[in-house]
Amino acid sequence: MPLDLDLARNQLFSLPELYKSNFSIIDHKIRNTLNASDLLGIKQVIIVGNGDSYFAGMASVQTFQRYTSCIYKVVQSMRFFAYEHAFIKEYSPGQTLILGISASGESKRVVQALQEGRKSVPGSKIFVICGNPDSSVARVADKVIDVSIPDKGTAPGIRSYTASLFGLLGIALRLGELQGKIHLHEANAVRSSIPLLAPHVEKVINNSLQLIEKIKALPLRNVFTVVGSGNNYGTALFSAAKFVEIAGLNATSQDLEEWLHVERFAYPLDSTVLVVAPMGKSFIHAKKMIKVAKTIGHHIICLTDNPDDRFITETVDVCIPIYEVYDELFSNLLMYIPSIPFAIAYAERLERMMFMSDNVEIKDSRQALSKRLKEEM
Amino acid sequence: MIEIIKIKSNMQYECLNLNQMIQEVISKRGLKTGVCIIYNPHSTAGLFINSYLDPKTLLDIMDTIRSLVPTRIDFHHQFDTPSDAAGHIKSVLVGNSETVLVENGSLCIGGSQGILFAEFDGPREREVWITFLNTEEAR
Repeated sequence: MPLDLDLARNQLFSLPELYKSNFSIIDHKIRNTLNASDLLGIKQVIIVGNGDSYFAGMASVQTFQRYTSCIYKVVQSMRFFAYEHAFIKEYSPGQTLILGISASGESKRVVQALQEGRKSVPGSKIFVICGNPDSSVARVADKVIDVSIPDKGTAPGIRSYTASLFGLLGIALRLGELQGKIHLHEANAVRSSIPLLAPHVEKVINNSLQLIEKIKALPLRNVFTVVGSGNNYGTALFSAAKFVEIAGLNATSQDLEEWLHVERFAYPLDSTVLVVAPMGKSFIHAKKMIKVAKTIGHHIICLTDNPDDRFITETVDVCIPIYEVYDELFSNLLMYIPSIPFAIAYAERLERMMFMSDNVEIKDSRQALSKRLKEEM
Repeated sequence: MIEIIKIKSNMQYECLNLNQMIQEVISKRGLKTGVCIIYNPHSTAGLFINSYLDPKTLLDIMDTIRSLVPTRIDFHHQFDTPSDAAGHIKSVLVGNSETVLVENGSLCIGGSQGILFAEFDGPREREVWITFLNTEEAR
């Protein structure tokens, strides 16, 4: 059955309400579930997940570094299951928190990874962030952070990604306040600010929609790249995935700096690059990257909270203003949003349905593969 | 009318002497006599009157309060932090308001006495509320 683009649209337009209502619900669950005896002794946090769950972990690196004193690692579940679990160092037992993320709660690879983690590090704490507290992933965990949200369709993962970001932010704040890295009132100030992002989420959606025709007019080559740094490397990973899932583009992601080392040598020379450029530590590097990319001949879509920057206005092809990012750390909560309407726009331009669901030539083999992967995953 | 004095603690546990700030309010209002009620609206802080002359006295007081209510991880109140949970109990033991007389435009307190705000979960921005009863203004 073809997966209609309205499934993505409905999720997109429901995001403001999600920010307004559900961060607080998820945060309350975290505070009622995780207490001082759970978290005081934790020295390292290892996130394990696939796909959007992994991307959410990558989009939260700086969040954990800012608010906690823990070492923070993000590992794909297959890599953790096959390799990494055997090399976790603890200086005394109980210092490790292995945090699995699975929106559905049925990712077999995450289940296997957590089981291996428990065998290799017997004193570790195994918690999960998932959307189903009765799922397979939940059953292998010591504690479950329930990030279930009202159902507006599950594919592609947009709301579930947001819920994972909320869960990770809530856990970082909880770790930080219990371990004394941040004061309770500082954590509460952050908590209060997230629902207030709801009108800004709506603005980002509207700003993006207003520029759809300009986006559609950019040439579509056989490669589309999204770049970002810090937490927004995770944003780039997620955004590229949505261009693949929704529009079937050959979209890839890369770190801002690494693009200058690697991708600048790639053809075609006039591909479109989406640059995530919040004000902050990577803004200057983003401008350097944009300058080099434009010189080569690439087309640039720029997401920034400094759209009036003269270089940006004079250089990029399309600039989407993302206002009210008062701290670069929280730009990950807004910068992923434009990828959705843009991916929908490209899908319409290419007359494609999501996840290749309209491709009748590969329909049978695709269904068989999806079924097999679902059983395995 | 309630006057709000804004203060800021700089440490997790701290005593702040409010005498001067309250005296400034009295002078600003031009009060000659009256009853001054000082109120602490925070549930993890306290208000008490004691000697401020030797800072080590205040250290003794705060150390004793902390030993009576050590910060543990097994409080029933888990939603916030252990320091917050302990702070609630300390606030109950110390109390949240003081009443002091005003005479001849000055606070009537002993020579070594300070009206002390006790911070039990800082550092934080805090407030102290003040009001006056039976006042007479200076002419």
